[in-house]
Amino acid sequence: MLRMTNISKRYGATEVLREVALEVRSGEVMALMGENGAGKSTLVKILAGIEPADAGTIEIAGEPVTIRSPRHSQAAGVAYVAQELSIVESLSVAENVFLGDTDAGLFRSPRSLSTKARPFLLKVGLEQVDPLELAENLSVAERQLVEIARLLSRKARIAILDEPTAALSDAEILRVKGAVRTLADNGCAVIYVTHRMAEVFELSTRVTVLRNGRSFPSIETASLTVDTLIEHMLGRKLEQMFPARATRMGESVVELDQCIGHGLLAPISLSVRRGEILALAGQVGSGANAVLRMLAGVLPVASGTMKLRGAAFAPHSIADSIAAKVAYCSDDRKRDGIFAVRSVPENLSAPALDRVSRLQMISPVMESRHTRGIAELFGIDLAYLTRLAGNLSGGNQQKVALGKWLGIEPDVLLVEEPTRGVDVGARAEIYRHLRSLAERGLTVIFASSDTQEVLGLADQIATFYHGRMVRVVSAESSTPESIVRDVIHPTLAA
Amino acid sequence: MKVSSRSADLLGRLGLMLIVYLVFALHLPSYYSPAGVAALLDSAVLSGLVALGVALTMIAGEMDLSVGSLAALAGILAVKLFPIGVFPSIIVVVLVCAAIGALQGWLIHRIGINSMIFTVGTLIAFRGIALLVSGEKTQLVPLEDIAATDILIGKFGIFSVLSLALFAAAALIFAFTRWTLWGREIFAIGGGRSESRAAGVPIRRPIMIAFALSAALAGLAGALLSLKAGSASPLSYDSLLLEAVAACLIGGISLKGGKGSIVGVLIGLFCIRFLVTGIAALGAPFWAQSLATGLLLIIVIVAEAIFAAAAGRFRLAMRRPAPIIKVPA
Repeated sequence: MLRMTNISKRYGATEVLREVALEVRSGEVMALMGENGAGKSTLVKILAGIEPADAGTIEIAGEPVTIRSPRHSQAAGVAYVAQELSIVESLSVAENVFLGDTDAGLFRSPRSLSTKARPFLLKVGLEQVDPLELAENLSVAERQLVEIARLLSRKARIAILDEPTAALSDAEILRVKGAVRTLADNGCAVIYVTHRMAEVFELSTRVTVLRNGRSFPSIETASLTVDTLIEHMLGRKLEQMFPARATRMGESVVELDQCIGHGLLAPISLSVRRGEILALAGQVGSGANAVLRMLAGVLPVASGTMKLRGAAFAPHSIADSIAAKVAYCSDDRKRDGIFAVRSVPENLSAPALDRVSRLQMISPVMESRHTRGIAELFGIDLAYLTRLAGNLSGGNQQKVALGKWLGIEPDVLLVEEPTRGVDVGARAEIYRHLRSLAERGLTVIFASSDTQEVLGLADQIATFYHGRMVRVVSAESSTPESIVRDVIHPTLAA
Repeated sequence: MKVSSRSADLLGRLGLMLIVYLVFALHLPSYYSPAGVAALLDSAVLSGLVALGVALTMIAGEMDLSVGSLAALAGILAVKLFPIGVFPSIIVVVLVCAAIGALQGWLIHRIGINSMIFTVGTLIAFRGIALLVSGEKTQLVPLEDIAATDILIGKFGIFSVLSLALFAAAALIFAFTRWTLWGREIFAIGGGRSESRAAGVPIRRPIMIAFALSAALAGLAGALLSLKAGSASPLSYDSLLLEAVAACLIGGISLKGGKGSIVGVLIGLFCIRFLVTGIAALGAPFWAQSLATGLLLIIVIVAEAIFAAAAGRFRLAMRRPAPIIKVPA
């Protein structure tokens, strides 16, 4: 039914997809698997017309098609449930079901739409929802189910579901699985993107694995086990990308005792030593980020106590944590990592303006010395110091986002996804710099969904799944398989 | 029957309008005499027609600021075209304005520019064109033909031709926004632009329709009023936009787009008209009208914020329990 060949896509300097092939037959469920950043979402977005491909061909039912917008894609018989929701809050549930559907006629009354929507809502288990209710009154899970109802209403030949169950509870997942089976039984070709092993083995007939933007020939699900599938996802062995681990570590610097906050379902206790790098490994929504945010003062600690250098630590804002020499770098670089429209030196001196000022006036000499010092410590090319931060590559932006915090001479550095959107070369550099800072006594805690990064950079690894900490292990005694199992399928862990 | 949050919102605004009306009706006999009511309705025609159009662009998540100048241009054109007859002239002007509006919408979508910025440009430019076309002079319907415009002063009880035109336009726009795909698409792109795009809504169509209707309504308002008066000045209608936007905001059209209704616009419109006319009839100076309208708008918006915060707390407290899902055997 669907054949995509040689699909390539770059974002600036980063190659997201390279000559990817995907082939799906009518009536089958094709699971699309891969680590975060492997290119799964980009691939399905190209098919859905949301992102244009740079190269490659798409054939549907033997006919080559050009897909340049979501409408082209729909006209070709593709329906798509996005990872980010596409529900318009100010419209009714029924209108959302038929949003963008031109077959429903030019004239439509709320009542007739709601009658038409009801059977589809019933199929996804939303019979208790009034189709005339505004979508803004629905929970995230209910909205996700409305999207699946929309997909069912489209009579699509090809259905794409991009992590449809990420926000759902187990009972709701059952409904989604039922809907997916019905789709496939009616002859639809289903592409199912997920991180959850159980769903892959229950639903899919075949699996296509993406790794670093490249695809591999599909495999019959029946011939796979959880372990072999994880091996396929990880592929290569760890490269010489990572620096050596810590040789000596000092006393305990950060301690969490039975801490719980929004995003966590069970209290967390952790202890991190001076000079240690701790990884919080977990998928999106696993709660790994919540730990960093509690320490940074962004997320209130609902109960439990935190200690910093042996003393009680309860930051109420980022300013509090900065004053305590704790720096936090979020995973949203565009929003709060850099000042894109300001120059690199201005970015680097921003957190430590009082250190480069005399009598409340910024001294250009001191500022220049300060920024050059950071640039050298973090390997930022001095030629970039005249540019705007927004014009740098992802890797250099990340160096600026991380490096600027060195200005406050932090004791603890909290980083979410230290190398998201960073190319391989810059990754290795960032790892090296983080390690050399740790050697000098900095404590680094980072959250990451990248298994290799977790395993290569950290001394200790805390794994997270669904708001709970699974375990803390030393990196040396872990394997990629054991980490992946902990963060996506802990029940099978030995 | 369950009163939905939307109807409750409209009822609240209707209540406000009735309060404003009653306050003045207690002091002013003209508020319930047929002639007085007819005058009230007539006073609402100009800003009412314009408000309907501005409301559509606001619902689409955009804003058409060019309506005042366009109405002035339309007035000049209508008087110039008067020799072809009153109604043909109005129809031609409305069609020309609709085409201009559609072009504006197309450009705004094509260039991806903020419509507020774009229409500030056309707001100034249309004024220039109006001055150019008129030779910077007030245009007059020839005195010997002025009787032909009498058809626009016709009355049916408390309704005049003009106020009937307002209500007819409001009814058509109401039906359009409520029962047609194209109308609902305007709500959809205002409520969530990228969500609608992902769902397959062609964004260009609703933007062009909203701006075309906005311009056509402004053109209709300008043509009707100028022909009725028998003269059109290129400098007129410069305060029209603010009253229209105020009517939309008081009527519950959200600046963020996607929310509001045409009934609300009419309620907001008459809130302002009752207030302004009443204050004028009580003999208060001109500044009092502006002050009162501004205060009304601020009171409504503060009340909205308070209600929204209270409703948010209520929702949190009354959150629907997780649905019990029956698992098929």
